[in-house]
Amino acid sequence: MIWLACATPAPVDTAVAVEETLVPLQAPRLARRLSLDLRGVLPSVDELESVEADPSALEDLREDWLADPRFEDRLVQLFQQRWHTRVDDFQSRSYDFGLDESQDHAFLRAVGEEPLRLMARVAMDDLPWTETVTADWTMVNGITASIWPVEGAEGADWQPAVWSDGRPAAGVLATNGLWWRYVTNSSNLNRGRAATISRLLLCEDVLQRPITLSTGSAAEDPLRDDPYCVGCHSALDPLAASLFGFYWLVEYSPSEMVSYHPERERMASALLEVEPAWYGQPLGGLQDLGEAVAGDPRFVACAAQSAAEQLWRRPVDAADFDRVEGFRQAFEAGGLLYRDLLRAITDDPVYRAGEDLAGREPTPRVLSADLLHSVLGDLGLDWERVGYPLLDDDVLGVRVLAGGVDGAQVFAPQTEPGLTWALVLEQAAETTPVVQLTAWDEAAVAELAWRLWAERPSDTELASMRGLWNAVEGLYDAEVASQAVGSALLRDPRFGTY
Amino acid sequence: MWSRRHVLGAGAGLFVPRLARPAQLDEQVFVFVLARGGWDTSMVFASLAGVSSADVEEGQAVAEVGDLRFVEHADRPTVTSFFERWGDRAAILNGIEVRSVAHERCLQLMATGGSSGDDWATTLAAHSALAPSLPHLVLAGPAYASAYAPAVVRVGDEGQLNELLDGSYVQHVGHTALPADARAAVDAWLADRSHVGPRAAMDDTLQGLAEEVERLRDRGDLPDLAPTSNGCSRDLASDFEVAFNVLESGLSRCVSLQHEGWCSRGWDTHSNNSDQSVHYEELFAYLDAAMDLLAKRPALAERLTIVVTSEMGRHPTLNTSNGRDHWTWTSAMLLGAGVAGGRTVGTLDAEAAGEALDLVSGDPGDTTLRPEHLGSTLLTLAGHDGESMTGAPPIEALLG
Repeated sequence: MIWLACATPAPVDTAVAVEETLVPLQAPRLARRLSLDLRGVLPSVDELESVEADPSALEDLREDWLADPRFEDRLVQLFQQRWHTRVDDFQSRSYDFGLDESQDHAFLRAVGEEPLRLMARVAMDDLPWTETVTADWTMVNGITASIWPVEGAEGADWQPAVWSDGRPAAGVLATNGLWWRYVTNSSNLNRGRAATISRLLLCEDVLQRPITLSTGSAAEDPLRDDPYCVGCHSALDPLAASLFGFYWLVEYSPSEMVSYHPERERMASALLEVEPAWYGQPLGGLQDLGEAVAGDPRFVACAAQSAAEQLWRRPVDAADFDRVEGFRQAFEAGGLLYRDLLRAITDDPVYRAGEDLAGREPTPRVLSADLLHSVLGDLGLDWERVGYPLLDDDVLGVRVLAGGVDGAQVFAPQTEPGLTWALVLEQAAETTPVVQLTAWDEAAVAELAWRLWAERPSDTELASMRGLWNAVEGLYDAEVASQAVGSALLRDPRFGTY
Repeated sequence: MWSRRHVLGAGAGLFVPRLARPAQLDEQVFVFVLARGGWDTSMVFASLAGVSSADVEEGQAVAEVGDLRFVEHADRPTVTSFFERWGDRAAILNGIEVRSVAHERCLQLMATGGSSGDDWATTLAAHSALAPSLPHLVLAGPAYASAYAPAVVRVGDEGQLNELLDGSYVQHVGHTALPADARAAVDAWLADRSHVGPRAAMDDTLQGLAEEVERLRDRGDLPDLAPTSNGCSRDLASDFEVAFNVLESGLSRCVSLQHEGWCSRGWDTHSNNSDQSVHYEELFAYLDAAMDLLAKRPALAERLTIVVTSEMGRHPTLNTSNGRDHWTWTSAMLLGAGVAGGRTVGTLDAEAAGEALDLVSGDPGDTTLRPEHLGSTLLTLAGHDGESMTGAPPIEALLG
């Protein structure tokens, strides 16, 4: 297969500065990348033409897109790639709350998006990023507002609301969505959740540290006396101790899961035999935990690293340190506004490159399921069965097959095309009504290609496309010819990559 | 009628041709079975009788079939029967150190030997000399891919891959796919990039994928990939049959399956550890049936290895809920072609940790077994240089 040739990257001369080998994207293609990354849809023809005429217009457009309501939705997609809360299963399902079966997918997303929406709203409202772990509000929609103990929400749309069950102000750390995804049990006692906090908010994955177990430890209490255990548990257990308001006495119990349990906060002392603390600093509870996270310098550095990874679509490594540090500084300088962070990353030559002559990690990437969902939806694709949007679901849908993240089996979006991705795109391309002509209209097709590719088709290409139209119209009719030309435009590599 | 092959045949010299398929139909193929959740190795693979602090299940005994030692129990007659029937083709590997007790981390470690990179199945699939259309077919469960990500082909929870190939998927949402000849016209237009300019690498990649799709449609022999139910969980017998079919027909080199325990109750028995017994009975019933099925396909049996793993083991002592928590030492079982069957390699020491091995003889030695030794063994068994690919030497004692 062709991909085998791609599996062996060219040797890289690491002595060559990255900037010297990067070839920037043409302005319209860069505008397309920015529009996709910041709002999940293609730029309009007018937007492309303004950039084509004056590449500096891109800066104003970026500001418009950062203010676009769809920016919030796109952030939810990006955060999911790391937080993995938009899963297709929780210990409670829609029927546990008397919801109709057709609402199950909407229920799952309402729960799973809660922490992601909270972070996105902090970014959208230009609140300091520390609000994500200190907010005294959460985000709900009509479904969760109807089944969770919250006040102040009306209507079906996503909106802020406050908890009415006495839970402390701790932003995402106080969300049901996070702890429904990352559950615990009577053996684990919130330690896994503590590790999740460390991984997601500090970029320190303690589970990466190798451990070995044997029954021969000389220590009477290995978690406190065996160096192998103490290394992690001395930090994790006090952190876990601050999470007992979310400790469920009965698993798979909807009534246990919906509410915070303040009376259980003190169970930590008995069960974990430690008091809540953040790396040695005593905590009074969950609210203190949020404030401790917010005050930890690793929290800001991790946010910068995570955002770079999401926009670069690859893990950062040691060679990226200076660059990511620059992003962090820009983030802090503006008062921890997420938009400033994204501005810094998208200003950087690595983001703006079309290719790297040194053969480093290629910048172009495929439109994976989340972007196919939003882009093709914007273009009129209506793939849905019994309430399941098929590009955002894996039960009936094709989210993972289209390169998406399900948070259970697949944890990173696909960056290179695969067979099922190509199949999904083929079928979606044939059923997205981008071309609806009764007769060949070269100007209309040229404008559509420009919109879809951010690259103008040549006369030769248009003539070739007309040949395709004529051939299919000769076999069938204008309707099928429209479908064929639309399919060709959407399956073109210039559409499927960005 | 339009045909992409016609266009290409007319001299589209810019197109990079697909690698020719060598007539190497004897290539080693694999089925990977994951018992997801962490199995209690002391019930079947590695006795805890020598571990003074362990809670050993009452009524179990160590049995032998040739040099293969396993744990038998009256509650698990299927396990005993399995080894009596197939023990000469099975090898048990005990004392693999996973180095973690977190599920997601352990899954990745067992499958790849590290925290990134491609799993063994994907690596094997990507190095197939036959360039199969569906190199690593994932019927269920995780797959880890990095450099060889396109080698992984998932079928979807309901076998959506079939419907995408035959066009019925879009019918379910009220649409009509392009007629075949109109699609062929589109394919041909996409294949001929001369109107665009110089071909880019992505053009070739997408073209190669389109070729694979067309090839699959032309073959028309992809089995029904939709899972079937055994009444309360996924029917692994059906999955094995699908796996054997795609391997036999050269569509794949590796197929991944997942066993979620009896009635999908999961192997993660932090309470009621006796559930493990039921899970093992079901798993070994499936393996028994698979071996019977394989016996009817001797040509496939000569080149098929079944790899059965779980991401971790379980604690030697019971917790207060009569369950067992996670343990960093686990076991694996290899079945079939290329395996030095009828033997157990490795054991747990008095502290329930794996005893170091001599990888050549399988006797006590100085190497602590890690997942990468297993990966190296599988790659070596398939004719690759497992040691250079994984950084770990193979367990030669397991190679038949």
